[in-house]
Amino acid sequence: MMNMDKIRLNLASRPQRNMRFYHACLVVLVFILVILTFLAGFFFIKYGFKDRQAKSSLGTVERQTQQARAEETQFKTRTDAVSKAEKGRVELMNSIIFRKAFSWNALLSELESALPDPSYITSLAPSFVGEASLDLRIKVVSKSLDDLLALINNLNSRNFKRIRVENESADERGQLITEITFNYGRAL
Amino acid sequence: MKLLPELKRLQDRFLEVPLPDAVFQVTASHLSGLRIAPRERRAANHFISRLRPGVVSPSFGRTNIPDVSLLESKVREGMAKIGLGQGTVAVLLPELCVRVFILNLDSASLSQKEKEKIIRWRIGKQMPAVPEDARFVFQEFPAGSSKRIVVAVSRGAVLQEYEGLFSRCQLAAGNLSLPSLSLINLLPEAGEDTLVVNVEEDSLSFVAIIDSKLALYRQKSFAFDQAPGKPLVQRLAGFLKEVENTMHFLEDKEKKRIRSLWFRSGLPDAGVDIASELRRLLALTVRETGELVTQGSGNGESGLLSPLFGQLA
Repeated sequence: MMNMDKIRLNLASRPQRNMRFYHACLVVLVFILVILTFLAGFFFIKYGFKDRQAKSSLGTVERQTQQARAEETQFKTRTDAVSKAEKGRVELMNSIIFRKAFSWNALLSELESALPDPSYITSLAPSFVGEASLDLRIKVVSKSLDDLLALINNLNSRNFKRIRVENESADERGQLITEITFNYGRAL
Repeated sequence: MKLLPELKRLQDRFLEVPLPDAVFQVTASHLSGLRIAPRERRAANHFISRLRPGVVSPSFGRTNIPDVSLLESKVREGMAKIGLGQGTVAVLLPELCVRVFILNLDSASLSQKEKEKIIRWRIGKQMPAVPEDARFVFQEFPAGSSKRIVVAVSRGAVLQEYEGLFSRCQLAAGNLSLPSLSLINLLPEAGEDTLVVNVEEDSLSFVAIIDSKLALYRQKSFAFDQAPGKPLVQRLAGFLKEVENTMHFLEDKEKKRIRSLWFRSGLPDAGVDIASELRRLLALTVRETGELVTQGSGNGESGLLSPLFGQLA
């Protein structure tokens, strides 16, 4: 037609349009949707199966944990019962072991090193307290108050606790006779 | 470089409006239809059905189809003949139910809304009583620095009559156009200045193309004298007068003399005779639009069916 565009006047209420592009897009979208649905289904089944497996394993583990807890509780109960039943004997045994194993040498060495040269001990009364400590009562003769204080300081700096001066008197030569109590605790 | 034609094909496939399944033409005197084979872009089958007077009464303002049931049955008969069950169709409406205007628009940089506004205003100047339900469609053609705009106006109620008719026959009328405009699409490329004349039983339409641009559209209610026994020369007198008037108007307006005329007759009985008489009486090269139909419809029906073939072009 005469180098002129074709006349395409259209009075229709719903003009015919080329919907191929939209249809093509729709087909592509439907295809993608189908693929996604397939993948979703695949992953749902796959991970659903794994989930069931994991839940089953978790259940087994939980059952085992509960079983272990129950066993632990049982064991603890038994241990407590045994511990209660044997407590007296154990304490006695420990006390005996402690007494047997107590190093008198070490105690006397400590006392010796704490005692100033001019002072001397006239009596020593030990008594075991509990399983691992020893109460001591000593009578010390010191030439002066300074020697007594030096002794107390030395005892303080060693393994001696609760040092208390109980009694004090002077003899005919003017020496101080002092009664001291203290506690000696030493690990076995 | 085979890529470009392939791209063009792809572009056409996704952007060009696809061909309908069939083209129908409704006039006061007949109903015709052409089945289209869309892949081959060719006519597959056709029918022409004569209508008795009063079945279709083409008019711009009034009801067009007084006898809807009869026309519907004719459409169904035609569908059966061309083997069409349902689908999309293009319908060529009677010339008289649509008004066509050709306007020049100098402002090239207008938005679509502005163009519509201007077109409505300019049509309102030429057509004082524009109906409220008037539907406007327009197409732009380049004309130098300005634009030439072809506008078609019709009443929504009238268009719905035709759309409803085809819809009841399971056909979606996706394209409503005019026979005379459809004929333009058939004209050969690089043709000379020409006048296309379309004669129907109740109307005359003229479309002039000058310098490869639409220059004139004229439509006239015209009762062709078909009195039996009266010599054709006498019967053609009124028609010839209208052709001459149009030629003179064009000569005055465009300062050009048209020497070629394409003629199409919608009168099933007298088309060939009129063309030969026109050749004899007018100092013009007169050709029938049927010659432009390359696909044979046979037995002299190509002229009558030529507007339908225009939809294939």
